[in-house]
Amino acid sequence: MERTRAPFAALREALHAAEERTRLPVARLLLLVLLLSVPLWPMVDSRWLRILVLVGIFVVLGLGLNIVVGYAGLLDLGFVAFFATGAYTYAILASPASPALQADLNWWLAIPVVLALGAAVGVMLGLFVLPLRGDYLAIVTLGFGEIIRILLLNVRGLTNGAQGLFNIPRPELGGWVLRSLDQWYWLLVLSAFLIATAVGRMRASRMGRAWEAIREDEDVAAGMGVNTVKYKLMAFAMGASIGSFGGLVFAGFFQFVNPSSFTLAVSINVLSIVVIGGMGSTPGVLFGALILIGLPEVMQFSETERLLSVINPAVPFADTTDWGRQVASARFIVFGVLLVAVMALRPEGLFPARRPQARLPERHESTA
Amino acid sequence: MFWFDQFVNGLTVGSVYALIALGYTLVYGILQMINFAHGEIFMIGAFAGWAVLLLLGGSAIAGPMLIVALLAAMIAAALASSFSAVVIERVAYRRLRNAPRLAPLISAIGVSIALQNVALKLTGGRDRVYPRVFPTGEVGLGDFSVGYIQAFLIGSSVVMMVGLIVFIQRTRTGRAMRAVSEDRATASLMGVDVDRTIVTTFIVGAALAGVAGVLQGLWIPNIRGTMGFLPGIKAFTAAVVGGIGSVPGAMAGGYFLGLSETVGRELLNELPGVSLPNEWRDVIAFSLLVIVLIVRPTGIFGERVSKRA
Amino acid sequence: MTLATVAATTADGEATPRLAVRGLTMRFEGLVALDDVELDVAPGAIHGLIGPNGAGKTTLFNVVSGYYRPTAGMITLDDQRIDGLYRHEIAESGVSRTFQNIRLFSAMTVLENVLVGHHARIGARSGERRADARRHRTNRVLSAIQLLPGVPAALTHGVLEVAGAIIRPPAVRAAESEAVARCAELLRFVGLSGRENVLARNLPYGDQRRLELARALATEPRLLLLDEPTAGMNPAESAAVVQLVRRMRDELGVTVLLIEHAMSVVMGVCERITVLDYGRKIAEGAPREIQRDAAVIEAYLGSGTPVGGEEDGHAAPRA
Repeated sequence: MERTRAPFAALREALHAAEERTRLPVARLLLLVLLLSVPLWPMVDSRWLRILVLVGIFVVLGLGLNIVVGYAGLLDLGFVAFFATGAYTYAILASPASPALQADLNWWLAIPVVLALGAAVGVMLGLFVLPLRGDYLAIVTLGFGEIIRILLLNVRGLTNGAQGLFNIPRPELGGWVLRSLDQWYWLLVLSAFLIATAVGRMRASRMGRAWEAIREDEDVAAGMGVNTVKYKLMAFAMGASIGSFGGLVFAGFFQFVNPSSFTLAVSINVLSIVVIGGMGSTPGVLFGALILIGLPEVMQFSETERLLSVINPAVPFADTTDWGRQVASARFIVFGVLLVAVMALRPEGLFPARRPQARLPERHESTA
Repeated sequence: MFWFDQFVNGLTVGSVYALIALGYTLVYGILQMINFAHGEIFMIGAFAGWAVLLLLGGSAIAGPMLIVALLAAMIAAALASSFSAVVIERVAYRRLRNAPRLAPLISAIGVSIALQNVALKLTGGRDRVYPRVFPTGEVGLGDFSVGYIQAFLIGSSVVMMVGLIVFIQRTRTGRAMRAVSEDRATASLMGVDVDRTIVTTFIVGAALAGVAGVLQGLWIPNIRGTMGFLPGIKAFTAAVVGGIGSVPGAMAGGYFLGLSETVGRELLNELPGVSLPNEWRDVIAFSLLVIVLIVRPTGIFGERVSKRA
Repeated sequence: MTLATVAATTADGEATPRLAVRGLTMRFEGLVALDDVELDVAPGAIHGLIGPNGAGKTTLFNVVSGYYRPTAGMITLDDQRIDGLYRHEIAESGVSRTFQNIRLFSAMTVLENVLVGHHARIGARSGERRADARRHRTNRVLSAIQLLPGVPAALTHGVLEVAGAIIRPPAVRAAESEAVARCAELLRFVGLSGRENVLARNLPYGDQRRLELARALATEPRLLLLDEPTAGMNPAESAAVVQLVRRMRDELGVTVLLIEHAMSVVMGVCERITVLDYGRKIAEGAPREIQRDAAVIEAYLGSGTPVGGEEDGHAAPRA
């Protein structure tokens, strides 16, 4: 145990020292460079990148839900609603198939629109569920997610119903169109990095402390001067805003949206990422998405299946060709079991956040 | 007799909701937690009953054998559901009884997801179909008539609810349940075995849901792994509408919800310019849930609900 | 410290009470927890609130700090009406409290707990608090409508707060480090220096009580309600807390109203004592008067415990 830990500890020390010296988040920047370099790795082909883009979208969604569930302790089972808000807002405003509007909105210009609208939807949901606690909140948000899906199906004049909206334009900036998988991947890594940084700073602020106080004991938080209504609404607004951005990326990337992409399964995926990764933990969201979204996809690669057959030589080779697919298709069983196991055995999640360690002013020691 | 048929349909759906809602309300009364996996317990009951009916001859069942087969199916469903509930309580809830509020809730959601997908996996994602053993036909008075199955469904759920009330009011175990839901600590001091009472509560609630699964299968023959999801949420809504924790409330709430999504939707359709397809049943149910939770969180039959932090 | 409003003196030389409770009644479904209670707490006092179990002491705290809405009556803090305000507004206007059963933010660090207490005072100069927003409200629907004109301002503040948190302009940084310094100072004051980064739940019991005090002080209260601050402590710990309470008043200028069962503590530290029984005030006066008061002796004799008798005479529960 000790021996395996030592190199990591040494690395952490070195990084820490570097951060002290340069006053920059060296560790995070190194991780960013590492992630950005992935498309240049020799083994990474388009299949990998496609999966990584999907993982990236879920990282963004996870960062959003993490504010609501992880920080503020509000169990939202209808997070897909915000994802749908972002995707459909852009689709309706940009798709030539949109029955109501032909606005031809540019993807980049849609960013502020989607962020603001997402926040507004979040506040609206928040206002509805404000008086509710824990269990009730979970069920009502679940219902909210379902209602959004039913609305998408039935308000045909806006959403084109079950056919959905297609030919959604890709992001374009002065003639330069975001087209290749590499570019999408980079866009996601950069935006996830920016969002994670922003979320980290929110958490370290007075607002973040208010969220956590509400999660810990709402009554006492109010008694200590925290306007719980305001901060709960802000948690919903921030989470929804980020979730909508995830939807915007989704619509731009797949260029097609229809109601079947916005089901309860999305909410469950995101919730599992947040809870299993570690509520309130940004690394938890990153690793959670890699494992829960990335791994099942990777397991369906033919090479992976061959690899799995090597691991389990007792099974005749011919029968193992869809081993990985079998496991991947059972992923929700695994998610469910993991949710139970994490709650029982490791409630802080697999990759818990480190608490911010305050650095106190120097005079503190001398005047004592 | 369109409206009468809608009314009977409402009562039938309502009976199923009421039976499931009782499980939510009993468990909530005793643990102040929502058993998210309760819809899946209903699903397990439906599958157990289906398996027994197939074993006993499937669609060939007829005559006096039918009564035996139906009873066997219901008992098997009650047993299978109760057994699952006991296992779930043991594995997923018990050790989290004093954990932060979100923990048992997330654990319950995990159980629900896992069970749904295990069932989907086992059935290969395809529906299973109940053998059509129940005699088709109608009992009726003049223009008003009710299908045998619906009459049977409504009748047997009423019998079970009466049985439940007698059980809670008259038996020692029932009294223990009431004591624990009033005040767990005091009940424990008074010598009530709290753990056992909690398990009993899960068993009773699950048995009702299991039988409800069979009843629904006889009526709407297609069953699948996800079949518990919507009835689960709606039954929960029914329990909330009736005042969660209240047994008569859950029953009344079930019928109220069943009627509002059948008769209520058709009534709305009578309004000029309104045309709500069948899917709007769910919207109606959810809207009711939200409205009731916000306007009158104690439910229509508002029993005292202690608001605990 | 917001001590500018202390002691407006009336003509006959008597100070405006820090806390004035008038005709306060609290009913729960047939049970009368507080019955027409009158209470004045003088500025700078350490005022005791005693009475047998179930007398309504904690209920009074809950009403004053806004956890319950009173059925009838009026509460003022330095002549400013606070009943009917939201809890966080009451905290902002200068009432803070601790809890009988400690209620810390257990998954947060010691320093973070205190910083949450300081929440409303961080960057308060940004004009977020307007006095007129804190009007007395009785009707919830009406108050929701009254809030409507404030929506644009609230939106602006929300956006500014998020932007401030993300961009961290110098003003935000300064406010934050000022807050950290202030809270660290309070932690030193209660004797928890050096434990800033420990999780609250990992503190020993006595330190948890101290942390609750520091958190309550961080709200910069004019009036501090202490609910059995020495419960579960040994005599040495308890003496230390008594010392701390005195210093709060003397050094920080906080007025203290405390509930306490240990008579030695009450009689030793309080200048004035109010006795509740069955939700009514049955006596009020200096410790010596209270010890001789017939009604008080009667109330306590019912439970067999002499007032201020044994060193640590806890009032026993009444059957």
